[in-house]
Amino acid sequence: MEKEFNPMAENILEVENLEISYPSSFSEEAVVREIFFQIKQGEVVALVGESGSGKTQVSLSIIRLLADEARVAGKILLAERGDLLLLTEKQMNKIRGKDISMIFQEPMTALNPVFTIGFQIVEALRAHKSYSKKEAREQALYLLKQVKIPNPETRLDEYPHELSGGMRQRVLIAIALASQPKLLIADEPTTALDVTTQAEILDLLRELQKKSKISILFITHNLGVVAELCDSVLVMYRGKIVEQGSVKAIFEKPSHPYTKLLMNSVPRLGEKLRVQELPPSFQNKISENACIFFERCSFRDQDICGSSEPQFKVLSEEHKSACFFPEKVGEKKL
Amino acid sequence: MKTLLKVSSLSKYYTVKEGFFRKKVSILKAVDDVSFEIFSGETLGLVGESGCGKSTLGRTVLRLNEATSGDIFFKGISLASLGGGDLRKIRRSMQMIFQDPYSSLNPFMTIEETLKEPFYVHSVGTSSEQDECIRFLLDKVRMPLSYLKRYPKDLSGGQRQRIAIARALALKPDFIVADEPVSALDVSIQSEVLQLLSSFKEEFGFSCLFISHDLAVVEQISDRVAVMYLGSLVEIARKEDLFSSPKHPYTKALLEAVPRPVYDEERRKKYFSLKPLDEKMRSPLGCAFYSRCPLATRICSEEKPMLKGAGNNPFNHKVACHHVT
Repeated sequence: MEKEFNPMAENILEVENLEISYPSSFSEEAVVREIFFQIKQGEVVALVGESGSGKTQVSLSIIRLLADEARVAGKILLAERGDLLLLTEKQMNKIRGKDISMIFQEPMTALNPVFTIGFQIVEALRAHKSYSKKEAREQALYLLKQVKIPNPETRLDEYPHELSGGMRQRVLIAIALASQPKLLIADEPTTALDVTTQAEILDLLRELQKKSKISILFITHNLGVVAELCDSVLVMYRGKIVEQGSVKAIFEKPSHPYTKLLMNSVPRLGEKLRVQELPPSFQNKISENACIFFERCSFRDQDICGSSEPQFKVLSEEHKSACFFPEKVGEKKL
Repeated sequence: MKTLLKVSSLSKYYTVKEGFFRKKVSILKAVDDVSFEIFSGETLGLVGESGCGKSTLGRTVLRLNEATSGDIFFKGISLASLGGGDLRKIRRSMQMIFQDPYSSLNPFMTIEETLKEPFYVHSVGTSSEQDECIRFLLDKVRMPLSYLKRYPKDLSGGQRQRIAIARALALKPDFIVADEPVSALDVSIQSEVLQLLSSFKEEFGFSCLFISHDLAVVEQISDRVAVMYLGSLVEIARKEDLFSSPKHPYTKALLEAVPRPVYDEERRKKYFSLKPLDEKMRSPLGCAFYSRCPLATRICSEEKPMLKGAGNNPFNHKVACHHVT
C-alpha cells in the first residue's frame, strides 16, 4: 500500500465484520454478525429493521455502551482515533460526547428530573472543555437557540417536567451537539413524538446537519422518516444487513424480499391497505444453512435458498442485496 | 341516516392545583364545548396529538368520566340524567376497547372467564348459551378454542387485543369506543387487527368512535373523521373530503407532517411550516391554534371560532376557523 493512501480520507466511521454475541452456557450464537458499513462525512445513514433485529446493538457497540457480558469482535474505525474496540475505558470516555454523541428514544427519561436544563447542558459542555461559569451559560444559551427553543433564557432555569416531549428532545439534541461531535447516533429519536413534533425535529436535524456537516447514524423503523431525511440505508434482519444502498435505490427498487415486505406493510395515506402475500408454510425442517429470511420469503427457491446463505450481490455502485434473486425481487412492482 | 349518538356542547374541565401548598388553582379544559353526531353503522375517526383530549372525550361520552357540562344522547336518551340501574342497563349496548391490551385484561382470569364476564355482569343467557357464544366469538377473532383455559400472559399483544375486541363484542353492542386499539402493536399485526375490526363493523353493524393519533390508520377504518386540537374539534368531514381537501390550517399541517415512505426530492428539501407550540402565547379567549397558525389575525386572538359548514359540501364538512369559508 502506498504511503499517501488513506482509506479514512472521507469516511468518518468504518465498521468491519462486526460481530456481537452474549456467551452463555446454552449458546454461543451471535446476535449481530457480518456487519460491514461506512459513514462518510456529512452523510445521514439509516439503520432500519424490526424490533429485535439488532439495530440498537450495533449502535451501542459503536459508542461502547453494551453490557459487560457482550463479546464484540471485528473493527470499528473512527477517523483519527483508530479502532474503538481497542481503546481503554478512560480513552473511550474522551470520545463519548466529544467525537460521538447519542440521542435516545425516550425524551421523558433521558434527562435528569432533579436538575435544571441549564445545569445539564453546562455539565455536557464542561466534560470536554474548561469554561468559566459565565461562558458556559452563554454557550448553553447559544445551543438552546440553535435548537430553536422559544424563550431560551427562561428555559435554562426550568426543570425537565416543565417541558413538552418535543422540547425535551430539542434539549437532548443541544446536549448531544455541545462539543461539536463528528458523529451523532440517533436511536429512534422521533418515535415517541407526535407527527407534527416529529416533523419539527426532523427539520431541525436536517438543518443542523447541513450547517455543521455532522454525520448521523439514524436508527428507526419508520420508512417515511428514512425517505425524507437519510442519504443511504442499511436494512437489518435477524442480526445481519440484508440490503444496503442509497435511499433512492432502496425506495425505487427494493431488492431484498424483506425490504419489500417492510415497504408493503407501512400504512400509507391515500391508499388502501395492501394485502400481504404470505408464502406457503414450509413443512420440512429448515436447514441451519438456509437463508435467514427463508420462512417468510415469497420469492424463495427450495433448493438454492434452503441450503446456503446468500452473499451480497452488487446491483449498482451503491446498492447491494444479500439475496440469490435480487433482480427478480427488484423487478416486481410494489 | 339515523342518529345513534348525539353529543351536545360536552365539556370536561379539570382543576389543577399548583404552586406553594398547591394553593394556585387553574382550570384545564381537556374537552371544551364539543358537539357531534354519530349515525348508526358509522365509524367516526377522532384524530389529534397526544394531550389534545381525545381519550378524555371518548371516556366522557361513555360516562366513564363525569362531564362538567353538556349532554350525550344515546338513541335519544339523555345519558347525563341517568343514574345507577338505568345507566347500567344502557351500558350493555356501549362498549370500550382500550389501547394497552397488556393492562386491559385481568392477568388472574383465564380467557374464558374474561369473555364470560360481560354475560355475568348483565345476567345474559344460560350457562350453555354463554359457552356457545364464547366459542363463536373466539372463532370470529380467529383464535383456537384451546386458548380458553389460558391466561393473558400466554398471549402476544395482537392476540390479547383480539380477545379485548371479542369481549367488547360479546353482548352485541350498538356503539363501541375504540381508544387507540392498534397503537401498541407492530405494523404487520396492526393491519391484521384493523382488518378484523372493519369486517366486524360490516357483520355486526355497530357504530364506532375510533380514536387514534395515526392518520393513515384512521383513514383505513373511518367513514367520517373529526380532528381535535387542544380540547376542541377543529374540523369534521367525510373521510374522502378531509383527506383530499383539508380546510383547517391544523388539519393541513397534520397531513403535511406525515412522512411518506417514497423517495421524493421535493419533500426532502421542504421544511415543515408550523411554528412550535408556545404555551405562553395561548390566549384564553381566542382560537386554540392561534400561536401556531399561519393565517392568524387579530380576530383569532379575541374570539373562538365555531364549527361551521365549509367548501362544496357544507352539511358534511364543518370547520372551526375564522379564515375558512
